[in-house]
Amino acid sequence: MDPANERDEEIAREFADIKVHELLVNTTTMLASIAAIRLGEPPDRDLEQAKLAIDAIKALQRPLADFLDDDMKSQLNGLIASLQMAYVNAVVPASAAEAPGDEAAPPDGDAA
Amino acid sequence: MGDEQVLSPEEQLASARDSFANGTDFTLAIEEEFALLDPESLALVNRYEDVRALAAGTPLDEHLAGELIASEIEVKTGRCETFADAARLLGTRRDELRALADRAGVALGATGTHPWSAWRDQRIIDTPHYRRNDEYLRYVVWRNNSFGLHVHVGVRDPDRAIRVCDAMRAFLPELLALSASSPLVEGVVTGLHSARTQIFTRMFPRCGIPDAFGSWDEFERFVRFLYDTGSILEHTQLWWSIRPHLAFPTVEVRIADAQPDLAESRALAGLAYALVARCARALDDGEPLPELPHRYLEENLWRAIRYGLSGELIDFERGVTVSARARVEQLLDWVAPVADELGVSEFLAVPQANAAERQIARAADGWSLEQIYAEQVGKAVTV
Repeated sequence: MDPANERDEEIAREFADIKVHELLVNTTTMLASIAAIRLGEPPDRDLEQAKLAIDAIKALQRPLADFLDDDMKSQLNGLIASLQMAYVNAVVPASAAEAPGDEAAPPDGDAA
Repeated sequence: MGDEQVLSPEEQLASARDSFANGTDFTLAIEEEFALLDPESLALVNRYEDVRALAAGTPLDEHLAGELIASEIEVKTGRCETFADAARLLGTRRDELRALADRAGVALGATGTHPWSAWRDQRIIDTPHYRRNDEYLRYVVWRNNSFGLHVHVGVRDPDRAIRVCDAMRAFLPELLALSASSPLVEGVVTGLHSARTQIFTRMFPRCGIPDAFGSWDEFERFVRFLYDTGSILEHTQLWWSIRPHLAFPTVEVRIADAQPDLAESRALAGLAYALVARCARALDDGEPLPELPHRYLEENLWRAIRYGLSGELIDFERGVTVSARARVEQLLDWVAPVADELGVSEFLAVPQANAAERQIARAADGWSLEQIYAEQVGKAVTV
């Protein structure tokens, strides 16, 4: 047999053994690790890449739903929630315009 | 806060109508209320005046306010043009306040109630405004040791501002459920997720979810009636959880518990802001908005107080209950287009467990109230 064909068959056999939902779970784990690194300090920080990773994990949530037990579902939810919360703080701009002395908010708390 | 209302009621109403007519859409400001604590015991301490005095001459000075009791302080972002600016200033103000608190030798707490300090030990601050409220409200105000987060959103046009408030009434329970951070008060695990709402919103007059007014004229008629009958002396005695402000052309969302975690504070304020903008856009586009009588909305408010994000809320359109978390997710979808447009989307997120759920889980694990609060205070001071 042609060695190239033999390689193709070998790959096909390996692929046939792969459960897609296991691959997707591994992918979400990898994406989560990448997101966490990209949410970190420079030079690793890259919010665009972090957001893409978080959005991709969210996109995988639905197709995975039937293959995860409640614990795993809850872990995945928690993972997404914590990455999104970390993103909220990371995405805050470095400087903000302040309108001096012009309080849109009058001074009034709960009981004011 | 102790500012005197210098305008007569009629002047106030006319000026408010004018300022809404000339208002700017979707500017915003966020206010956060913090507990002043003994750094060792984490009990409330009546040290507002000391912290305030240290602020003199610092950038924070104009952004601080007293709030009823001397063991509480309020900090404001000030007016911002964009949500991103406000989100950043929330962090800046917390940093500035923490530095000030460190100098004063106090710690900061940011849950909706203090878990154990007694209301009898808290001193009402000495301003004409709070003296009047003390005389007027008595036990109701004494009992109110609570900490909230408020979001002001600029809305142009007085009628439109009222109709935005009317529509926002339906979403207050979802915002409360998301924000709930006060399961502990008076030394007990209350079984509630927002004890603040029960001891403040449920006890104050003219508080909680107001009636729908439909138009500025009707709103003005009611406020004038309150003045004419001596029911209120100043407009700040309208304590509703959603209200048009009469000194600034903003719709103010006042339902939320204070937030120990900065990211959660930003995400919560983001949703409140986006909801106001979404309601305004719906009105502009002629899209129908929920118009439910008070008695229906109260059912969801109670559910949010009692069960917070762990419970179910009623989907009135379908007449079924759905998980509070799912309702919040539905709202995130609903606001998505305007959130994208206003640069809020990136700040919208729902925690896996909110501050009330985290505290309740610790209590179930046998943590003491002191241990639970120490963890939450840690969050407030290491933002």
